[in-house]
Amino acid sequence: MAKILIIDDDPDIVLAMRLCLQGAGHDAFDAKNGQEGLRMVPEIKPDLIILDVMMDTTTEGFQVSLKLRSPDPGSPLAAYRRIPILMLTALHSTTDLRFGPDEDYLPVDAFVDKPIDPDKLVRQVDAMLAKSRHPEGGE
Amino acid sequence: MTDLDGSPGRPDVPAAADLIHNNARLIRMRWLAGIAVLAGTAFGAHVAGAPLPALSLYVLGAIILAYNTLVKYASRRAGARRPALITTVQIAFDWLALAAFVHFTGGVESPAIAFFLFYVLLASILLPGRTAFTYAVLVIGLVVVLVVLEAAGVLPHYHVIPALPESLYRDPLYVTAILAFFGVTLLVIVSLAAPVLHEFRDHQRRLATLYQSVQALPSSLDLPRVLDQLVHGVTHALQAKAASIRLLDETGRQLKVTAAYGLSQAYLEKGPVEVDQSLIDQEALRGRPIIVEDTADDRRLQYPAEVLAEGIHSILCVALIGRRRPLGVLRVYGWQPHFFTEKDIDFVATVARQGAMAIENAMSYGELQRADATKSQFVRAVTHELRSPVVASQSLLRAVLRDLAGGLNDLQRDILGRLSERLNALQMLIDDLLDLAAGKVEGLEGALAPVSVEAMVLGIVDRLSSQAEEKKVDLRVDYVPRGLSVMASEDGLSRIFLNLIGNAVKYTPAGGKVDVELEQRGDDVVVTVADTGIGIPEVDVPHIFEEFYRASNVKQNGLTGTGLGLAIVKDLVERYGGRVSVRSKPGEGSTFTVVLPLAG
Repeated sequence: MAKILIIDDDPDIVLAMRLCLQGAGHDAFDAKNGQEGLRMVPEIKPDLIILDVMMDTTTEGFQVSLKLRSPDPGSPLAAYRRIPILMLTALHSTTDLRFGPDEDYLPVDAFVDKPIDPDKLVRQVDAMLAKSRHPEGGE
Repeated sequence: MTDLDGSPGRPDVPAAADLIHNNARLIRMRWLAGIAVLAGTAFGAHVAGAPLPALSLYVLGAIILAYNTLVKYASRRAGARRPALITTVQIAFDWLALAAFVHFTGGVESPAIAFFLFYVLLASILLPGRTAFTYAVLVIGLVVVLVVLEAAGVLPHYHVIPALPESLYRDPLYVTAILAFFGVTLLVIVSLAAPVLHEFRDHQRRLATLYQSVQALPSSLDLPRVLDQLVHGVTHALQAKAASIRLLDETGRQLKVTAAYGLSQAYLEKGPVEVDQSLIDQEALRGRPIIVEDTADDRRLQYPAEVLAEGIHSILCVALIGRRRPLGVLRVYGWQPHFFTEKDIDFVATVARQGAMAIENAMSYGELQRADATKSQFVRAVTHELRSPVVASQSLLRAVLRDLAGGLNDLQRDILGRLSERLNALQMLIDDLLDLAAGKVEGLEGALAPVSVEAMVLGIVDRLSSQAEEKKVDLRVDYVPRGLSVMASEDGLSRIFLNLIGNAVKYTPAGGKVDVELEQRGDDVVVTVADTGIGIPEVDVPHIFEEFYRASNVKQNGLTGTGLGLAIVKDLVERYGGRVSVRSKPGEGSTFTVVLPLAG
């Protein structure tokens, strides 16, 4: 059981993910844009964030993840920089935005493609949660 | 002077072809000269009874014929490679022979001295100005030496014209006068002939160059380049002051300067040319070349003051007529009134005809490119908009089908399953469209890097092996590892082989096989994907790489597909500088062959 924050502007995708995550026993919260998402992080203290890569602009997802990973000093986000981030990509493979999880460029931990496959999503989320709870492979 | 192609001017020498041609002419004339020496001596000595040294002259005639044989042989062996050398050697021999002839026929008294003029004139035509001048000085030196040696008694003097005083060849006044006139004549010939001839040759060469470039223009698709070449070329060819091309705007009422050469910025910005107000352009656009013989005195000009201030004294204006409509006008500006000749008008009219074709070609190509880019961007925007609702619906359906929204009865599950299948097909189509559009939009600037074809093909065969096994299709790959790489993008290369091998597996029934072969042929890597599948009907083969084309038997068999896979393959393969082809027989199978140039 974990708290998961979904930041995505597509309510149907949010609903689909909510169904999947709740089915796997997690608590799902959602924000419909980056700003709202960042505001909700200190309130909810999520265990994992699912972030859509493309909301209003093609780069909004990237900007949000950058703010989460390297928050301004003194920002309430500073305590959450280690939250695992799963990035949702609606982008098809050969289009221009294609990055590996690169600490310098794109501070996210994993990607998952749309459409959402319930089993894949849940497997990915659980794996990331397990890793963040037991870094370096166990306590 | 700038050349048409912008390269620095060529060195001032006649083309090798000229020299070769003239060498041949010299050889032909020398046969005549040799025979004339022999015949003339026979006549002069034996018939006219002149006191000629006949034996020496016969020997000289024989020597001329002998070395001409040698020159002819040498020019056949090496003339094409070193025409200038052959010319120089011949001329040197000729001078010596001519000097000997002058000597035997009376030295300073000999009328044959005039033959040297012929050589200097020839040198002026054939050789660069400075060399021709050197030749003239050498000839003068040669004659001076001969005459002085005879006068000094070092060489014997042959007194062949009894009517002249015997000691004339020693008379200082006579000798000096003859030599002075001879020398001045030669130098004047060179200084007059050489520049005129070179200017003439330059002019001819410019015309030839312009002609060639104008001929080549219609195949050039770069509009500004085409226009620039035209205005440069015409200005130089006619040695005019300037030239400009004005194209009609969309309304067809205004002419806009699109290319100009030799005109000041101020003149170009003097204002738009309204066709309604420009009688010259109106007339020209009807297809008749128009000449303004004197700009100081022509009421048809729209901007007479500006024209004169620019130093334009005559104007030749010819319409550029496209296949369906006039495109604009080509104007050439002369330095003086009455600058243009009838020949110039014909010439500019020819250039304008070729030029119009070239302009039209370049224009339609530009439009095509813009249309293609717009179309691709449009397709991309639309597909992004299409993809979002489709993937959202799929995501919801999958969640429902996994019973995450409560239990389903069998009928509901069946219906939602069908719905999900249809959405999957729709998503595939959108993804393919997106690939195709992305390829067209980004294809030109996409960075390519060496990608291992072997690893790529093996990886894809591996990915498809479970699918093949499930279908009971024998999927094999045959290759000898050689570390073959091609310049491509990893995604694109993967797309190519995933499509081809995936199709082969998809269209091959159980029990069939798919053979993938990879080999190096010269500087290419050749990948063949051969299946024993349903094959492609003959009528469909020529269209199989077209967008949205699906072979008739595929549709009949109810196999799903978007009809875009092979179009994408072709697009990508060509982007990487390769080609793809297919051989197929319905019922027996298909073989796709991809040839890609090796990296490096």
